[in-house]
This record gives sequence, structure tokens and C-alpha cells, in this order.
Amino acid sequence: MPAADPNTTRSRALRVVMVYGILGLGFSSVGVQLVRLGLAERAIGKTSISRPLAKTYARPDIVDRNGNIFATDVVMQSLFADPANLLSANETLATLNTVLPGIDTAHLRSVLANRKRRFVWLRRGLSPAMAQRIHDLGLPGLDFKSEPKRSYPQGRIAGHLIGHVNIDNKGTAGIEHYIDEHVGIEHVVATPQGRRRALHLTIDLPAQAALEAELAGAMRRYSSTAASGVVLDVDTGAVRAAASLPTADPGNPLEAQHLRFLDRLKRGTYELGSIFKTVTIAMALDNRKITTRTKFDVRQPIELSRRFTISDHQPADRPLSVTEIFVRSSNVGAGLIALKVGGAEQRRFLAKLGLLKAIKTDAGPTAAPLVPSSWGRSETVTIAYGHGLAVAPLQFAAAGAALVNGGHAVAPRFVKRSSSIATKRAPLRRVISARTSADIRRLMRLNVTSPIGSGRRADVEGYEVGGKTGTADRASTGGYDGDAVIASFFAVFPISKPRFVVLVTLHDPKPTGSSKKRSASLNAAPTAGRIIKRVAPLLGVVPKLR
Amino acid sequence: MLRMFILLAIAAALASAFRLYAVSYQTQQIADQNSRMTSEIAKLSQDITILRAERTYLMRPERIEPLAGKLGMRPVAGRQFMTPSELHTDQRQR
Repeated sequence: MPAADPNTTRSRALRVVMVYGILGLGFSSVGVQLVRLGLAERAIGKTSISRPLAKTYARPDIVDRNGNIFATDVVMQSLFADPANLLSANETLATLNTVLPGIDTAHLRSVLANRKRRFVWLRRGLSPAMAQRIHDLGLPGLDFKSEPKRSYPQGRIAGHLIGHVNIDNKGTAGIEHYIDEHVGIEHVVATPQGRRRALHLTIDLPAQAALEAELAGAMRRYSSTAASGVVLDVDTGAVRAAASLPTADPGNPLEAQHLRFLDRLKRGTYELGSIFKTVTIAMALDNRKITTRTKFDVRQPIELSRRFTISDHQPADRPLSVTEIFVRSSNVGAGLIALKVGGAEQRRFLAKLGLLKAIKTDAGPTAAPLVPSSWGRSETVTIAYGHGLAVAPLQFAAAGAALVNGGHAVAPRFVKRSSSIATKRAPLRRVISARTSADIRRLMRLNVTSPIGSGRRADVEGYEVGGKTGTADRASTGGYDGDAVIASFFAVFPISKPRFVVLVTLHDPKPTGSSKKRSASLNAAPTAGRIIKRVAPLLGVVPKLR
Repeated sequence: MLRMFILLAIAAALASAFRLYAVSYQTQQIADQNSRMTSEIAKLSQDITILRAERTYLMRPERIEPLAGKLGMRPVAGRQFMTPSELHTDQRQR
């Protein structure tokens, strides 16, 4: 062995250091990686699949003022297919049809034939039992996704108000639409987590059920085709019960599109007849044009044109005071009062009461009133007794509440203020004086207590009901349907300190018993009485029995 | 001396490695348990939602009213309200 050259020795030592260095670096990187793997969250197994087609929305519950559920999200299974993994579209559909009848086989066959698509809904919102049966078929290429589906455990109760959602759980009508607009819904891809704060309505479920039951009873009793009713807080406008019969099923948006299921409280406008005399007299009293003792000569009919005169069913043989005009419901009297005030002022007053424009509510706007294009002498007279101006009953109830609550305007509300967006109470807007309001209350009470009053069948022991009847010929295309009427009763109780107004409307009621009459005093008035009798105790109104 | 130090260092490295893995496995187990419980909570809260909906369905006025009627119950009436003074006189009469 030759003697070590110092140069060689040094280069050997350098090589050894280099090898050690590389090995050390390698081991330490392995060590660092091990530590990293040990400490890192195990995000490795997670995959995220984005399916732009499969989106749905989680919604808050809708509950009544006391927390009774109207609508809630229930997780259901939805069946989808991945055409790329299907064995045979035809066979799969044939097998599926054995447990799931009613799928659109022809349409799906063409869709599933396209193997480039990776996602096709077959049926959404299956019950767990049905999902299990389909799962048991063991068909490849089919899978389930759980998603929230709206369910309405109360059935059809308050159906018109609740509204509808579409297949993606988005609100399309009524309070469901309000939720999308003002409360917010949450876009979810898989099962929703956590619970949302429920939306509280002003509705009282027992009162709502009682109202619907009484209206259904009235429809049977008077062979009426439809009916609507509303119970509204005179001071706040909070609606405690609102119904239109036939009722709508929130779970069936298609059915609700039929005219038969029209919301006759908000979405239909009607000439409401003599209940408008309340407005006419309030207008004249408030303008100081008359007092309740002012007399009008109502013996002669009012001639509006050669063909058209206004007369009373039972013409009086002497001049009548305003009080008598109200209680006897004289059309001529109301017409004369309106003429004394004048058409321009009448129009201004109706606008102030909010009867000439559609109003917005939490459950969507009311149908726009049908206002005459020209407002001449005939219009002034006919509108005075409730013809020639068609409004949604809900709109009239709100305007009527202002006449009896001391004179300030109210807007109907369906969402409880604490969960509503408008948490601030709007300043009161006065529409008539407190004195006029007191006069109107006295007239309405008299119409129920007087032996000749048209509202006497609406009285309820202890609840001091006041009210006005209205029997209007039903308008149909190009004139009036000679036979059918719309009978309504506008009530307020208790008269000494009004809490609620009730407006009942019966469509095309028939005479009962030996009577040939269909006037509201015989059908709408007693119906309103029955409603108040049931609803008032539920709403905590204490009667004055002694 | 140096050999002693190297042996000790190796022992310490081994010990800390074992400790690290033990802690890591424990953490994983707790994480597993956590996710199991989270999904159980989600499932249970879904069950609660379904049960609440079912209870509401069974309690709907349409169904309860005829049942209550069979038990002889009637809708609340205005006459059932009493003032505190009336209650007082009632008790004295007894």
C-alpha cells in the first residue's frame, strides 16, 4: 500500500462528510414528513364533489304565534342516476317501475341513454321506507341524496297564507316567498346542519282552525260556493286568523292555480255592498258635513240616468236621520250623503283609507282594486253604498279597522313583529278623528242591538258586537249576475274597547228554509256571530256578562 | 463519553417517536369519535324534526277536535271566564 498522499486523505474525508450529510438530510426529511403526517388533520380521505344540478335550500320553520308548526323541513331521500354506471337504461327503468310507479319512462329513457351525463334526478322527496325498497333492488348506477323537503303537518289550514315552495325548496308564494325575500334561506348541497330560528306568524292556530270550521259550516248551511274571513287586531293590524274557502293545500302548488282555489281574501276583488256605507258616513261625519242626527229626505229615488235610478227595497215614508239611514241600510240615504260631500272629496277620502291602491302584506300584495276610470255623479252615488269599486276583503278589513280603532290607519300584518324585518313601530297615521270613530262604533253597535238592525243575528252575549251587513249583486262579465250575491258582514268587538275586527264574506249564498231572501243579515251576520263566539275566548277577550 | 451521548440520544429519539405516535393515534381516535358523534347528532336532530312534524300532524285541530268531542269536550266559551272576585265568593259559599 502506498503511503497516503495527504491530498487523497483529505478528499476521502470530504467524501465521507458528504455521504453523512446526504444520508442525514434524507433521514431528517423522512422524520419531518412522519411528524407532519402524524400531526396533520386527516383531510386525505375527503373528497369534494360539486354537483351544480343538485342544489337545494334549507328553510326556517313557519310557526304560529305560540309556536305551533305550520311548515318544517324534513330530510327525505332523493333518487338519482349516474347514466355512465347503469347496466341498461331500459332494464333499470323497468325494474324501478315495479316499486316506483308513475315515473316518466319514455322521457327518462332518452335522458339516461346519454352516457356523458353523470347526474339525472329520478324522483325527489322519497319516504325512508320507499328509499329502502329501491335500495333493495340493488340496481347499479342509482344512488340517493338526502335533502330537505318542505312538509306541512297542519294540512290545508292557513294554506293560502303559507304559500308554496318549488322542487328546490325555494319559496314561490305567500309566507314561503316572504322567507326567501326577507329572512333568508341557506343553500345546502348535502343534509342541512343545525336548526334555524323559526318564523313566527301573527296567526293563532286554534282561532284559525275555528274560523275555517265556521266558514265551512256556513258554506254548507247556505249552499255557498266560496267564503272568506279574517280576524284582525284593530290597533296593530296583526291578523289572528285569515281564511279563504275552498282552502288551498300548501303541498300542492298546481291545484292552487285553479280559479276555484283563488285566495278570495287577498287575491280577489269584490264589490262589497252596504258595508261601504260605514265608510261613506265616516267620511261625511269627519268632514263635519253632517252629524248623526242630520236628516235626509230619502223618499224619492235618486235618478242617475234615464235608465238607472237608485231606490230602497223598503222606501221610507219620512225623512231619515243618518243613524236611521245606517241601521235601515238605505241606498238612497248613502247616495245623498256622498253627494253632499262630493265626488272629489270621496275619492280623496277613500285614497286616504288606502282603498284605491293595492296594499303590500307579508304574504304578497293584495289584488289591485277596480277603480272606475271616471268619477262622476253615478260613481259617487254607487260607491257610497258599495258598488262600482271592487276591493280585496282584507284591504277593506284594514280600512274598516281604522274607522273603529279611534281613527289611525293600520296595515295588515302576518309576521309577528319580533321576527319581522320591521321591528320599529311605524308612527300612527290618523285618517279620521277620534270623535268620528266613536260615532261609527255607536252606529255599528246600534245596528246589532236595534230590533230592526240588520246585524242583530251577529250578537254574542258579553262581547258587545257591532257590525254592518252588505249584500252585493255579484259582478260578472259585462254586468251583474242577476241571481248571485256576495253577502258580507263587517264586525268589531267589544265595542266599548275594540280589540278585533272580523270581516266575513259568503259567495253566492242560497236562501234557507221558507225564506226567499239571501240578504247578509240572514247568512253573513249569524256566521260572523258564530265566529266571534268561538274565536273571542281563544284570543283572550274577557266577556262582560253582568 | 461520546458513545454514551450517542446512545442516550438514540434512546431519547426512540422514546419521543413512540410518544409522538401514541399521541397521534389518540388524537385520531378522538377525532373519529367526534365525527361519529357529530353525525349522530345530525341524525338525531333530523329524527327530532321528523318526530315534531309527526306530533304536529297528530295534534292538528282537524283530528283533535272530533276526538275531544267524543270525550265530551266543547270549544271554549265566553261564559267560562271568571273574575277573581267571583272566584272568591265561590270559595266562601263552599
